[in-house]
Amino acid sequence: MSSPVDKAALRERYERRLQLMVPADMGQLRALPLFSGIPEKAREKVIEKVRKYIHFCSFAPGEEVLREGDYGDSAYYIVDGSAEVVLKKAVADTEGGARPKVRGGAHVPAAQRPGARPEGQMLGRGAATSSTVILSAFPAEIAPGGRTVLGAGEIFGEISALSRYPISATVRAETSLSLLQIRLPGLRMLSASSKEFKKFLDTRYRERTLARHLRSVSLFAELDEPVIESLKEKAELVSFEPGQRIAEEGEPAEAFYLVRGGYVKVSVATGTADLAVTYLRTGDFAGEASLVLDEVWPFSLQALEHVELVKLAKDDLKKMLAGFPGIQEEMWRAMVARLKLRGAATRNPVSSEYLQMAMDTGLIHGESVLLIDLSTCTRCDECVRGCANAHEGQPRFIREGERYRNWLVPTACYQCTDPTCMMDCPTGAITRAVGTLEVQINPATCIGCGNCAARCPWGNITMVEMDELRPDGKHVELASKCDLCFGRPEGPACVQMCPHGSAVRVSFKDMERVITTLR
Amino acid sequence: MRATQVLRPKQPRNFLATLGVSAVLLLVHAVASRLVPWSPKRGLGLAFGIVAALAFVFEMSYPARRPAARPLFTARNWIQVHVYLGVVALLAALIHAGLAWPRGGFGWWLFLLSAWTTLTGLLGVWLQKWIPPALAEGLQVEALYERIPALVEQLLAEADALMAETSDVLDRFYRTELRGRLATLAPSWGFLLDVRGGRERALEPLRRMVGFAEAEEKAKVEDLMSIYTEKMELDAQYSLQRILRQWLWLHVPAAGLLMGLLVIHVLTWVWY
Amino acid sequence: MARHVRWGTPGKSDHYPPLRKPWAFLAPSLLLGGGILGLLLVSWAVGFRTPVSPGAVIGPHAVIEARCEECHTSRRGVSDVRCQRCHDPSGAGRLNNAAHVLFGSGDPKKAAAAPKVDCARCHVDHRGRTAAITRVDEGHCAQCHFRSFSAHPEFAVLRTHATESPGVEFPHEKHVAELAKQGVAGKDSCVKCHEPSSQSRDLEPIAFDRHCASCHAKEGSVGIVEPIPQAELIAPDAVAARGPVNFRLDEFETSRGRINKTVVRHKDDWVLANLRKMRRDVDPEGFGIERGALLARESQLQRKLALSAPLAGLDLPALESREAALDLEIKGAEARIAAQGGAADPPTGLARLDEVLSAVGRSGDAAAKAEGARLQGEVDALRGAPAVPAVLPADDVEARTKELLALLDAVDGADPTLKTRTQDLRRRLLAYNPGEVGVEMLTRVRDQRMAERARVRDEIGLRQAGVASPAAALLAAEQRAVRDALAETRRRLKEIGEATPGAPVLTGEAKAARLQALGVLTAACQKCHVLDGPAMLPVRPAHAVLVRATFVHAPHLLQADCTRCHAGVEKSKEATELNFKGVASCQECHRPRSVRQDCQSCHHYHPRAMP
Repeated sequence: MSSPVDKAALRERYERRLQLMVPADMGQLRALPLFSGIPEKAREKVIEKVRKYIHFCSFAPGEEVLREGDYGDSAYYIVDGSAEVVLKKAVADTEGGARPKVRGGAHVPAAQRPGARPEGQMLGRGAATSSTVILSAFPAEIAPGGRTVLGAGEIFGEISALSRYPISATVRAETSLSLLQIRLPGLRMLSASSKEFKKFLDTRYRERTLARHLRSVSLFAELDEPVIESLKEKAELVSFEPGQRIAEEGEPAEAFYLVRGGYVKVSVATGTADLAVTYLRTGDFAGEASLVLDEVWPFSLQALEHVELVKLAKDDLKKMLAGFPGIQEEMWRAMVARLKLRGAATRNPVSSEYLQMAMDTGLIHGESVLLIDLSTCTRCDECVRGCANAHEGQPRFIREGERYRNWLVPTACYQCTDPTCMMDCPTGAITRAVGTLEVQINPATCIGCGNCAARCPWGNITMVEMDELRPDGKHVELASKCDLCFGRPEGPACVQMCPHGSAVRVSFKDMERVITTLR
Repeated sequence: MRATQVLRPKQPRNFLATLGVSAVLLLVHAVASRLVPWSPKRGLGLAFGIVAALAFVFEMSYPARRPAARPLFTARNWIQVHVYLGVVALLAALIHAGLAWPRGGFGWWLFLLSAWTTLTGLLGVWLQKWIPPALAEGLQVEALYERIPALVEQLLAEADALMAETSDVLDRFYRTELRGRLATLAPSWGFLLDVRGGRERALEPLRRMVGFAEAEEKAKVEDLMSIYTEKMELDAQYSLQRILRQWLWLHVPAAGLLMGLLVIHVLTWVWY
Repeated sequence: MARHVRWGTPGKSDHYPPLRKPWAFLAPSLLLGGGILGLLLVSWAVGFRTPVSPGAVIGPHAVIEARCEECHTSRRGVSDVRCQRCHDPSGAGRLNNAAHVLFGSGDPKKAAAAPKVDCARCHVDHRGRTAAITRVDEGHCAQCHFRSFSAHPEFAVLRTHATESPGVEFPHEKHVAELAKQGVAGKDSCVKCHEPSSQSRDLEPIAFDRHCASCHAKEGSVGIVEPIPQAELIAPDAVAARGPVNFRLDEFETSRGRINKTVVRHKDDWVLANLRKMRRDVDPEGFGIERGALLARESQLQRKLALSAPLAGLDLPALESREAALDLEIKGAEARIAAQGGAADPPTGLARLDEVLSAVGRSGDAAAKAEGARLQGEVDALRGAPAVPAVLPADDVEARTKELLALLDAVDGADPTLKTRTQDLRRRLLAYNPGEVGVEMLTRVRDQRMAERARVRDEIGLRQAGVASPAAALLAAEQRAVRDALAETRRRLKEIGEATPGAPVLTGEAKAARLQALGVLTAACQKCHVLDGPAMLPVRPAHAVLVRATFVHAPHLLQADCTRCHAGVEKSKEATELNFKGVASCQECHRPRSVRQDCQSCHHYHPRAMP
């Protein structure tokens, strides 16, 4: 593993995090103003339920609480002390060295392929796509290179936890800091049981982020400050459970939705089945047809997972936009584009089938999914061998998984756009550097807790036994997953080494490419 | 017929190029042997021999494509070159010998080994084009070769658990007729021709059983059918993947022997 | 809930399955290859060579099959020198391409310039015990000659219309008509004299006793000899005293100093003895030449026989001394070549002269300059004149040869102790080919010696490496041929007799009288035989149509009539007429895809042991 010095630092960090795993003390919790919004009768029960997701932690001055680019799964409530929020100068900084050049198009993200549907806020390779970054949690606008300070009673990190977005600024303790860490399930529970808490969170969002979020939508980019402010006031923040229908086709359209976090399926009903047309994720919107045409919903919207939406009432929006004809035009265009998509889907149910499959199986999350064509694969294991050779003799995927027609989807990491595996890592070993595609595990800092492996819905992370022994006599285990052969000049070995060209990498976000590849 | 469909070349340009090269080689031989009596030891005969020898040595170095396939070719082109060059190498060797039967034991060994290596190679090409579509189109299950025995055990355990509390009739049926077949992996060459061969016949008794079973047990019998089907699919997977692996034992040792004899052949030419 | 067969893998591994080792197949295969390589190398090293042999050698070579070095030299392939150890033990160089070119064209310049063709180029062994190693692919012939029989040129004799006399006068027309009167016609009449042989597949040679005597030698006599003055002749008893003769003394009648013979047999010994004597008396020059030629041939054959002891029979010291002797000869030849350098070639000589003269001019010596100017003048005069032929016309060569031979004969007669030297000079004279410049001949001799030295060196090398000597069986056949030829030469020498020392040369009247007597003596003979002055021409086929090929009549006779190829025989009046259609008659049947027409059907590549 690593040198004794690294081991010591690691141990310290782990212990710190272990500390964080201890459920909070009831008494301490009861005293917090955070829970005052919960009715008396229910409060004890709620706190009891929630306490295992809440931890007290303290940081010395200068210690890092959150790192820019990390994925967070918690909101942090400052009980005492002050924290410094710093935004690095350039966005194009990565963890661990120069970005390697990549040849071949095996895993060029959809946004950079010609003719692909442009993704609004998708983080892909290249600084250009990450030019607009939602500042997740900070009260003021921070310019790159600038800083701001948060004091007691402030909360930060909840937006990125809820929308599964990377932390976009580093938070450090300025003075001695004591924090309350509320992990995502706890956040959700609290939002559900305490209206006041939800309002607390929503207010924060509304104050700090909504304006920026609204501005980030191309439709509203040109609006004046006062208009945005009033929109901010009128907006409603809603959440949906997985599978919940957000809007039904054919019903009158009363609202305009902006997606804060999560995936939403857009579909049309054909006969008895639902034909998937497209999907919406963070930064996308729906309902422009209602604003433009006074029509019923041309599609149905359904939440694929926990979804947070910003809902704007039709009438409010119409009034505001009356003075901005340019926006009307753009809405027209968006609507037409979407109707075209719908038409294409109904004419070509195959693409819809793929989309539905991708949504059902979760492949739609993946930026680079490995598929093996079983009708040409000779099961020679060259792909696995190539992967092993690129990773010191240890392959990073298994040729097992679900089949879709004659395509096998092996258990190789899909490099999800919004990865869930990163959320529970106690040491931060699993990261995705801002501006890159690959989710990587750093073997030097991984302690083998297995959280990421447990979290991955498809089991794409495997725990590998190393030669070293733990103090209790068992072998040290490290998490291992596909990293798209980061640093290998020829690109992913699995695709490159297949003698028959059976292994391909596609992103299900680019349906045209998928259809031509999978045929 | 699928057999001919399957033989279509993946890159027709390479196929045509090889045909062209072969035709040119034969033409060169035809013309040259009319002008000068053909001798494998000198002139054009020797040139063909050197070409054949170098080609065979290059063929033997196919494993060198790992770990990165570059710089010579991509992984896909390596196999194309390997197959087509192999055919051309055999042709060059035959032309080197003057397109005549070998004389003498050593000559026969060289001839037979080259022909065997090339022909088993072509057999491998056919197998690699025939078996994957058979597996992909005929079966639903996909498993790693090494895991299949463990998977069969799992299926047996599942079936046992399913049959843990059933009526006597079904239990007896299960134990006498079915369990034996579920317990052991049964690879068969027949799967090469029909990947679903024997399935209907094998499931017949179970189908009949559905009729005899009580209402509440019908579902169990149907589940048993599904388990048995999966097991048969694993058999097919095992058989065909085994063929794909073990075929190499036909091809590579002969090539190794050929290398040894080739060294002797070259040494005798150099020394004598 | 109903259980369905999964699409995909039933259950997931919780760890990466182990990979098949990358060299799982390659390692054992290469080991196998390496193993067989080692095994074969060991087998070769201990002497068991059959596994690495590309094929069995032909039956006669089987005894040396395991000893590759008997034929193969390392890194140079099958060397001619090794083949020659058995197949040309006397080192005559009979089997190489130069000999073939000489055999075919008779031109030593061409032979010297001929490319070297290895034995193994055409005769490829290692093709099995019963392979036909002597059958050579026609393509080899086609490298220098034409490719198909249809391109075969007309036979040389027909091209040049040579009309040398066969030595007898024989009109086919009369004889065919005569036989026809007896009721023998067509093929039967041909076969009456041209009989198919029982020994070989060709025809019996025409022999007087078999074919002519029945009509021309009634009761064994071809005629009589009219009376001739006895003084001109040798007496019958003198002839009879020399040895067994085929005449009887009672056939002679003498009266008034003349002698006549009543019965003259074919090849009558008395007639022939007298013919020879008269020839010597009348044409001593011609006699001398003929005798000299025969003597030269005798000594040539003797030398050949002496040298035909195979190298294999010599022990190491003898081989080394032979090598040393050859070294000396080669050095000598090279010295003579160097000495002759420039003199042979008139233009080079002239250029040299120019050089010398200009050097003289520069030297400043007035007398030398004047002399040089005079020489220059002469040379210039010569330059204007028609070019001095580098090659003497054939007649001149013959005349000079005759002169020299007669001279040598005279020397022999004058001083018998010089015999070895005269033999040597005769040999040299006869080895000299017209058109060949001295340097060329010397080069030829030197090259031959060098080839021989190479053989001796190779033999020494083999002997030192412990390789056994080959059996000398093949030599016996060669030596037999030489011995037969030597015997024949000696017989002929004996036949023509010896010169009479101190005999006066006849001139004028005496000569005329002798000639007249000769005419009477051979009157009976001259019915058929042709006399050229005092000499009877040898009877031989008028000019063999096939000089460098063989032709076998037997299979052709089975299929065709004689006149199919020998058209017009029944009308032929002169013996000099060839009565043969030429190559076109062969090409009627020997066509592609018809009867075989490869070169080897008729031609031989290698000249016979005794040409």
